[in-house]
Amino acid sequence: MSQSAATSPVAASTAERSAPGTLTLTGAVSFVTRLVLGGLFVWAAWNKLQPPNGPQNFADSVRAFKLGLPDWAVRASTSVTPWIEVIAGAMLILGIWVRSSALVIGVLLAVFIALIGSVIARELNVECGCFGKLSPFCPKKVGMCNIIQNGVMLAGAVYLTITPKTGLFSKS
Amino acid sequence: MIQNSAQIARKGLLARYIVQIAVIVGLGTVIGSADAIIRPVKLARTVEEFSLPTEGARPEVTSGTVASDRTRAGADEPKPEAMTDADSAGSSASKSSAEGPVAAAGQSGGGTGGFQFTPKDRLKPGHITIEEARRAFDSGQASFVDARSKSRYEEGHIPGAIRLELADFVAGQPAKLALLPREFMVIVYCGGGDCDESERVAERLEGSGYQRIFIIHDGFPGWKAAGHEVETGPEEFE
Repeated sequence: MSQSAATSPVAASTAERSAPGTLTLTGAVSFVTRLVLGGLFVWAAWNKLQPPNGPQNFADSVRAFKLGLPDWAVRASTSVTPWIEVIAGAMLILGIWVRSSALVIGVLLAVFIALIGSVIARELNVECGCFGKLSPFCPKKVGMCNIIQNGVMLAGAVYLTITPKTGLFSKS
Repeated sequence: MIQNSAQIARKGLLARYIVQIAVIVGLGTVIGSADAIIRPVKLARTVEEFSLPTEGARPEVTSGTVASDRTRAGADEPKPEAMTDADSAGSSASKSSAEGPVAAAGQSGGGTGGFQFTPKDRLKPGHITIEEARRAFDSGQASFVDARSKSRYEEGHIPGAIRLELADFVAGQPAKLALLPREFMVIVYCGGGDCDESERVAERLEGSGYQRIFIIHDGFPGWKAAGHEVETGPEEFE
């Protein structure tokens, strides 16, 4: 129980474990997770959208996965996916609609993991294209590292989805 | 009553999340669709019927110093008879140059090692047979592009071929394009079979302004199996 003299007796009997303005652990973890996950997704999406060849490079990556998609589906996934990533990532960073944004990102990550698993199972030698032309954390060729990378991000998205909205600082 | 209120509150919350998700996905879809119209991606290249350019001397590709360990297998041997791919599927190549120092793997036992050449009527649009590639090579008005990795290239490639991978186009037009005359047809190849790197490079070449682009369907393995000249060693113009 806080030592602060600022709380009234009524507030003290019914309320909070920490004094107003104290950094909460849950709030801090959520804050950092939001920034990191949202930042990674905005950065990944930017690399896929960046002129002059971002969209074409991403389309080539999608086709290299040999999913048997018709042309319209390749175009749709190539153009729409990065923009959903940008919007959801930006919302996470700004703390807007956190659970919904995290859920959208979580679904995207689950799909990416399934696709990468499919590529590995079929022993295809392809580049991930996860961050456009960059591969900051894993080798360019798709492998288990990409699954682990996406798995870690998925854990963050799940955490943000199921954790109740908590501010960075406790409120009075 | 309290339970109903809680259920109503939960349903309200669920509806709110559904609307939020729909807005995020919907907004991404709308903006993405507009982006696709403004910046369409190219998924297929324009293909035309293969026809030989007029006969002429094969251009020498000018470059700096020649790599000292470059070897040119079969260069001094009489050129072998062109294969008729349509009737050679499953049969040996029976090249008269089998006794020459052509790449050994393609000439084992005096044949192609059972290489299955793809007949003309089974080719995809924009793809050519080994025989057509050979005729283009002899005409002297075709540039060859090897879309394979550096190590594969160095193990053996079509003489004079320039190596260009998809990765070379990621940051924009590669400098090596200056070595490809735009008035010549461009013939791209990779490993044949399921290899589609040549298709990707061909698309990028078309995006760079090249027009008559063809792909050797059976790739370098087919060229080698047919007993044609093969160069080994690193690229002169890396």
